[in-house]
Amino acid sequence: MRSYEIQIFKGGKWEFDSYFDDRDSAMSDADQLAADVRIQGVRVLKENYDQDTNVATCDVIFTRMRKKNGPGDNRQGPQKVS
Amino acid sequence: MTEKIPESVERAEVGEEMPQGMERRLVLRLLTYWRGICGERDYPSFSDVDPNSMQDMWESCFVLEVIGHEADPVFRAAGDAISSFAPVPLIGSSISEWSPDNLIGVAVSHTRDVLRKGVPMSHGDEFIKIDGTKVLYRSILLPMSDDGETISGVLGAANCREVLEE
Repeated sequence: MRSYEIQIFKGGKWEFDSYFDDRDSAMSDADQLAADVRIQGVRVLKENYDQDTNVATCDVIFTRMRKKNGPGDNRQGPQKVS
Repeated sequence: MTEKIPESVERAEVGEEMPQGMERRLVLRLLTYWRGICGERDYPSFSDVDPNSMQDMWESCFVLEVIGHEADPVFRAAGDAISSFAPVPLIGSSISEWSPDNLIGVAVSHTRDVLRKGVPMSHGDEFIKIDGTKVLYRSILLPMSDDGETISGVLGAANCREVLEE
């Protein structure tokens, strides 16, 4: 089972924002959030849940942080989170 | 080439209703609306929802009351489009009364997950109607609160299309 979790960077930490079960909707929503100047950072986590082993693994598939001194962005590639 | 259109046909420019580049997916538009009325709070209030300002989306929306019905939330309002999928009156029924062979049943199937996690959740899949027709659907459930902290209801929406298989 696979789901996509959107998190936004708020008050110095990442917070849950919303869940999608399809990548396209999650990425569209993340792009929209990233364009909002009020939001400091957005990331999308892909969660793979193995029902047989009851183990979930998460990959960060999209991260965009707003630079402190300007409107620029900083995309990062996939990375594993614990 | 001049196109002849009967006088009885009313034509509207789509571009006026839906600006170019605007997200067309119902679930993403409603999520954007929810975030807009949410502001800095964890959850918006139903008093912030103005059906007139979201008429096109409201047709596919429904409202679940949670307070007093935590174990089995109850439908309190619904737009015409979503109501048309209900063979019996939707308002006043509880979510457990709806089976997963109906758009309404699948749309509310993740209500408890939303109440537990306290965040918006969108799902899409297919279901088979009682007449055997395959239907693709997408739904979203959004937590709402009267006091901005405790979830007192859920604003949901769903739409679908039938798949005609040869």
